[in-house]
Amino acid sequence: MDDLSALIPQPDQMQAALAELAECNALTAGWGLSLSPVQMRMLAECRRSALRDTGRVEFGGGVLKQLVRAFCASPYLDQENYADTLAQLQALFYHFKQESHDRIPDDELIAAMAQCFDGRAQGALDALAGLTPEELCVPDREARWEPAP
Amino acid sequence: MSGGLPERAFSPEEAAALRQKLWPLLARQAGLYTGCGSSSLPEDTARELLCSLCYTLKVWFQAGGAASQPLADADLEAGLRQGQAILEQKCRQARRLWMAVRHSAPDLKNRALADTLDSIGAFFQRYDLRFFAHCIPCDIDYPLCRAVPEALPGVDYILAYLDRLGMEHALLRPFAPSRVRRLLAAGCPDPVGLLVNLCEPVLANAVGLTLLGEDPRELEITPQRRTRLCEYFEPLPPHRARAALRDGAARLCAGLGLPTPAADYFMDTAQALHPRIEAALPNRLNGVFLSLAP
Repeated sequence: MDDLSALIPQPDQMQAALAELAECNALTAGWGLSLSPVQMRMLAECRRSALRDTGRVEFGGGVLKQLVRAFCASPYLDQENYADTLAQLQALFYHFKQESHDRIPDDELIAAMAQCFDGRAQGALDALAGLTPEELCVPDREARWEPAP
Repeated sequence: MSGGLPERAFSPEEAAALRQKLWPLLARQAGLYTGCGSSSLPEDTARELLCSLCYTLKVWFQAGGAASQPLADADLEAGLRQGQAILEQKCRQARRLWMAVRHSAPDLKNRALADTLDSIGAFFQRYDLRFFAHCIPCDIDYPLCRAVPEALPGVDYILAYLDRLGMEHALLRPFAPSRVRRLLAAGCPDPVGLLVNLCEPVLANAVGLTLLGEDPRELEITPQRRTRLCEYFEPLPPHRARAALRDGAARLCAGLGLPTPAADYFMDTAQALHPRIEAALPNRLNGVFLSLAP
């Protein structure tokens, strides 16, 4: 009864994630971005893997909708790379949550990720991934970006 | 996992119904814990929140919560609130018990005992019955005659520990502190600094003297008395030796005016001396029944 893994309602969580993603297409239509049903399922599965990989448990549908809201206006996002970029951003989000020991609220972390992605990382996910949570949250104007050797 | 829901077997339907209700309750707890700032938690933290939840619901169940309704209809949110109210009550009870135990402590110095009592005092500030009700945020180093089961969670552990410590203090009080100090010094190089139980050597000698028909308050087991105890125990088969120890403890406690729960505790403790007595008989019971240090 008190086994955590037995409690997690996996089908319900999947449905919740898919429902949230379905709402996202309405948000992103203006930027020419949309997700197909296959891509939505892929993202929901990636969410499960990312949570597993970072040893986290999530309640509700996840943060994909918030990520979409924060990144849909990015000049570095287009229809071709949209789904894959979202998947990687989602994984990075959980990575940063774990690395920061949950000290950064979701909203702030996503905002910081979006600012860095569009700013000093110039759309490069590798550059974003190379930052520590502390570096991520330094305001862009103070950041001194140096490309990796 | 300690603090789990009651051990009574749930039917598959009951288990499914409970499982379905636990997840949203856990989600709500997680939201309260993070201040709604995070949609996810580390698994370890979620597991701790779940443990706390289950322990609190168990407290509610044990107090008769949900007794009159099918489990599938049980309002677990209400149960959680009521369980937390019961835990608050237990905390107040534990605090009163702690103060009583502190004031009843015998005039014997022991660093571990003093530190443990101080640490339990800090427990009442640190204990988080909302999210970590199963935890025991303090250091309890002083060993009792009979340890509290480690599986006992949260404030229940503290209550059980203090209850037993109070009984041990009650046993020690009738004995002259100077005699007790000499007895402890006989059995241990540093009874103040070492992690030793103060009560057990006193109980052993007092039971031994009771079995010999002597005044237990003397606490002194001379070599002659030790010889008599050897003659007493040597012919006894194990079950009769254990019964004799229990009987000696019962008579001791009756003579000291200790109530039944304490008598039961010390009867169990005295009985547990038997393996040491059996092992020490070839050595004339040295190390079990002690002569007072000068």
